[in-house]
Amino acid sequence: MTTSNELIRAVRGPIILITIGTLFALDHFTRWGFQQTWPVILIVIGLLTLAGRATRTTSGPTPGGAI
Amino acid sequence: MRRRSITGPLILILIGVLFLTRNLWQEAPLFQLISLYWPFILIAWGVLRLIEVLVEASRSKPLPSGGLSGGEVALIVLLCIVGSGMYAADRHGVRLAPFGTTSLEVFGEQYDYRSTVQKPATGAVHVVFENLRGNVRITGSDEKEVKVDEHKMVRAFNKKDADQADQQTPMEIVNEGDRIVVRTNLERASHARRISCDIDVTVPHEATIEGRGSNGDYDVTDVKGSVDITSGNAGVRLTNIGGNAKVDLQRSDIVRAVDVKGDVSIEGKGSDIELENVAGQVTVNGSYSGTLQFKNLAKPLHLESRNTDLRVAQVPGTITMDLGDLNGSNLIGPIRLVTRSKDIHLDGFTQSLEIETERGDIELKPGSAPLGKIDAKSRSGNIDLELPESAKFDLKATTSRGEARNDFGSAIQSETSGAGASLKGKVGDGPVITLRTDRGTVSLKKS
Repeated sequence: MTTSNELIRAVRGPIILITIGTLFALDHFTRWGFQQTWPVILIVIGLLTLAGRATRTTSGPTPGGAI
Repeated sequence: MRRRSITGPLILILIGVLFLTRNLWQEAPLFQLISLYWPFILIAWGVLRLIEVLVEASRSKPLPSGGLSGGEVALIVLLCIVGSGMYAADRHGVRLAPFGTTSLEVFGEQYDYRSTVQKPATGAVHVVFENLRGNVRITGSDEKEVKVDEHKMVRAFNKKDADQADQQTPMEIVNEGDRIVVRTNLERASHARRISCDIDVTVPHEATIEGRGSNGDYDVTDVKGSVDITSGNAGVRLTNIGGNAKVDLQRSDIVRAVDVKGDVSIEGKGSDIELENVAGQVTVNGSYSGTLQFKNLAKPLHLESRNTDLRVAQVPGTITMDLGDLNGSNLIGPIRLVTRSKDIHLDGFTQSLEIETERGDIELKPGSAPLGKIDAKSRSGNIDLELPESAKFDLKATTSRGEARNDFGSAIQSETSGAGASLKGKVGDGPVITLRTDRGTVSLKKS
């Protein structure tokens, strides 16, 4: 049985990857340069970690594993 | 055991497709495409992994904990670095060899083709050369014909492609009005970048030469007419030219002209210039980063570049100039030199002299003939003037910050004022000499 915590941890990599790709695409095709938009990656990682923590308290098997 | 991700094989397929496209459709601007669109590879990769994870979750299989393996992370970082690099390179106009049109240079083979074409021509014929890429060597001869030996080099993956390219680019000599035009027709080939053509030409002595090209050297020898060469990138060597020589280049490693009876005019950008035994006027206009050498010029020289303006009435001796120095000996004035930053040494000049430099030392040693008017200014640098003992002159030398030295004794008054100093005085009845530096030493020496 997969818990929502496991799911969030599993999608973390792909979502960060998509974010980075999108930021570079924005850099190439819009006026938003990567040097301006990079903090978005930190925000996404932070959100994913928060979501992981929020779900872990219900049925998290691994304690303390943030990133 | 967990099913392995499908992204690995997909990346392999993508790389395969890219290389195949490049091999089959050689003109594809793959470098630009990749440099622009690589972020979408990251997005597609992420989406694929996301779908995989969701599918596995819906089947209630155990999920990978990070979503990406260490190897994948390394590959992604590499892709980001390479992609950003390519993007930056593309925007700044760099084309890297392994991706662009020059892949043939690495993987292809060179095929050579030789042919000879001739056409009768007599007297003062005007011959025009149009060769996109390759070296052109032109020699005047007593024969009454224009004869062209062609050596075409085609880079291709196979002989069939090379043969086709050779047939698409036949060399021709045609009459157009009063001109004879020699064309190598390289631009007709569908893959023009892979062909170059060296031609070796003999023309009648009296011919006038006109050369057009974008890349390749020009060597012209023993021609009595004038020579006019325009090229994107060329080294030009002219020897024994009877008429005027005009050279207009966007880039060059060397322009050399020896024994020219007419005027020489050089324009554009380049590195070295060497002119020797020129009977006509010499005009150099452009920016040159290497060494410029002028030797035995019978008529006025005018050199104009971004930082330097030099006019000399006649150069029986030599002038050598590079970015930091200008050395001249045995010159006939009037000489006028305005420059930004150069150390200047002039030796054995006559007539009047006018020098202005922003930064650099000036060393002057006029010739033995009666002295001309001298006016030398430097913003920052020492000025040395060496005069023969018998010289007659009216000197006024000042420095705003520095010392003044005098070898001529009591005829010259030395004065210090604040941080500066000055020399003033008349020796006999001679021309006015003005030396002025804002920072540095002024010296009057006796030779």
